[in-house]
Amino acid sequence: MTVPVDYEDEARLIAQAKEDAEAFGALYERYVERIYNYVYYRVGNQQDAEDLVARVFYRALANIDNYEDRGVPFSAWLYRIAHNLVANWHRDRSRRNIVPLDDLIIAGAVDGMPEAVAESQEEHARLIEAVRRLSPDRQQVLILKFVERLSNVEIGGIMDRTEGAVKSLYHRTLITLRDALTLPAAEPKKKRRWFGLRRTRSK
Amino acid sequence: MDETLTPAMLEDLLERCPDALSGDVALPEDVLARYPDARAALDDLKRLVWELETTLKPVYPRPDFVQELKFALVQAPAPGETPGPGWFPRRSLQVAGAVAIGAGLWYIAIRRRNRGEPGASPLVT
Repeated sequence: MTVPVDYEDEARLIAQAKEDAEAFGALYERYVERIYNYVYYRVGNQQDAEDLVARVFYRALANIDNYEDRGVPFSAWLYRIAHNLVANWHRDRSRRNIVPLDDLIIAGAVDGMPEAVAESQEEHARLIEAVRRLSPDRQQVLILKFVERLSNVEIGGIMDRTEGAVKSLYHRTLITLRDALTLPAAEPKKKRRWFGLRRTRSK
Repeated sequence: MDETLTPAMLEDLLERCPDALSGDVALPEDVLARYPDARAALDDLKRLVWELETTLKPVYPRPDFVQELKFALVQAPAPGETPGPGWFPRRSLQVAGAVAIGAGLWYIAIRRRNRGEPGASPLVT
């Protein structure tokens, strides 16, 4: 879903957006879907995602004069705003002890035969639940890699890490996720069965 | 001597064979000899990557939401811009920023009211 960025064109738009809201509207249209995707997968429902996306772009508009191109793409700046706002949102949610609705389970459904849909949804739900139990950084790397289809270099620009650090984080995340989905300790009351994964820690 | 593959060792293995997850890359013989379960562990991870690819799909915002928010953003006074002639002297960027944030909070409050969320904002009754 990502397209190559014309950085000269983007720099021109950013300069215009500092003076002209219409130009900011063009930047908004360029990035709204990507930011929405990121926020949606972090919060798990449409209503809160829309509220947070609105806040992201209002904050960007309010602070665009402070944005300086230092080799970090404008999208990375937006993602960082989104990351901070989502973190605040989770902090507020945990204080109020509210568990968000998981629209994601429905969004993750795949096309298929009717009898296969329920099982497929259950598997998607289990995977998404496991992803959402990961730390924010690990969730972020998975969303940027699988939903946004960004390269490790691009993800590094957004997360302020080197390419190698992103790769390591990604590997650690996969291993943690595999263990969470396969080891019985993660869900002791149920018999674990998740896709075709096997336990590989033999004794 | 056979050893059980711990998560840390598996991570080291991935560092050593960075393409192991993206294709059918043969693992080094010394690794397979030392960790007999390495191949199974990699198969698990490949399967997990495939499931992530099929589950974490792009989602799209509602077109109405995208258009409404764009309209609201474009209407908000841009930094350094005056809302109307003779009404608002050219002030600091901080003032314009505060106006934009206020407009954003107002927009969100209106949306919540329209959704029927009680007490969404003390500003909206």
